[in-house]
Amino acid sequence: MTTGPTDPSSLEALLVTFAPRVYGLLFRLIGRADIAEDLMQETMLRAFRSLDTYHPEGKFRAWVFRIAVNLARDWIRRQPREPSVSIDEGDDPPVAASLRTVDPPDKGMTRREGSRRVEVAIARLSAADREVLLLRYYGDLAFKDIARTTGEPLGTVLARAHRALKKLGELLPEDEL
Amino acid sequence: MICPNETEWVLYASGELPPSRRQVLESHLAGCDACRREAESLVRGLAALATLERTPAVRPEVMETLRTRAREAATARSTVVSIWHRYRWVAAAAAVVVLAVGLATVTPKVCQPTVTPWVTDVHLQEELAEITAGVEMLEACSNGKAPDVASDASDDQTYEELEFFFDQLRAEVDA
Repeated sequence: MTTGPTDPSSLEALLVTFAPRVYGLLFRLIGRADIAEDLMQETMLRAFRSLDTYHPEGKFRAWVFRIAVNLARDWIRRQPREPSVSIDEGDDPPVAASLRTVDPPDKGMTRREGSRRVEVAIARLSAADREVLLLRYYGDLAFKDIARTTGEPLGTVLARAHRALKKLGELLPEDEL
Repeated sequence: MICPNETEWVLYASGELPPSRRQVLESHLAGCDACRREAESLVRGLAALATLERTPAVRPEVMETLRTRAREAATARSTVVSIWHRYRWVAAAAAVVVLAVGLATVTPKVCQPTVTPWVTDVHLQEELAEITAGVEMLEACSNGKAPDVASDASDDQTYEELEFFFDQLRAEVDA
């Protein structure tokens, strides 16, 4: 029996390995579970279609997450811009607001005690800073691979990560290390 | 030792520094409170990030839909590959024929520029008339017939003028 990249077991392994993480990334980038599900499926199908050209030594994982990030960017770009209004301190930006009102399929994802503040803090980050942090976490990518994925210089990516991690670090008391 | 910059602390906190450099930074931490606070803050940030569910469950019906679509894509792909392998020489021959016919059809039009009806601008029409006259004159030259031109106008100058007209014409048409 041959076990090519398009045989059912390879397909299942690909889906089980990547689908939840890609979904997690997209949900945090976009803030809508339904759209994240659609884009996750599109990401996986695009990756699956080019499995024949996949070489294990290549950065396949980075490539899968690049597809996901590009799809998310396209979706965000297509959304009508909201009028620029000043928001009071404490108001949630759109992504944070949607995280507050939309029930994701996995309630453990947002309802777990202790991660709520982190979720809101992440949603409050700039889109580019959030992208770097989430690629690091869900994609498990090294920063040099994140730089390739986002098309930004490594120094810029590290500066984004520094800014974002400092903000998240302020959420945890110093004795919680 | 000069304090390492902030981006290097990101690499340190994330475990992406080579061991030799990591050792240098750890030695620095022992004697620098500011950098120790910096590194701890980044490590806390990573710890906060780790409170998120890393592999959130995807709804089973979504996964099932995805499996179905992936299988369909695989079937369609193998069908296309099979057809391509069987008929690739026919397709190649057809492509050559189409290319040859296309070239035969397009080439005369390229060699015989004409004033097209969509050029309605009077100024542009005048320039086209000048260009057409120039082309006729060049054809006369190439046929060995002496053109009726001013004695101080060389062929090179005429070509340059024609090229200049064509450039202007292209620019106006593009605009």
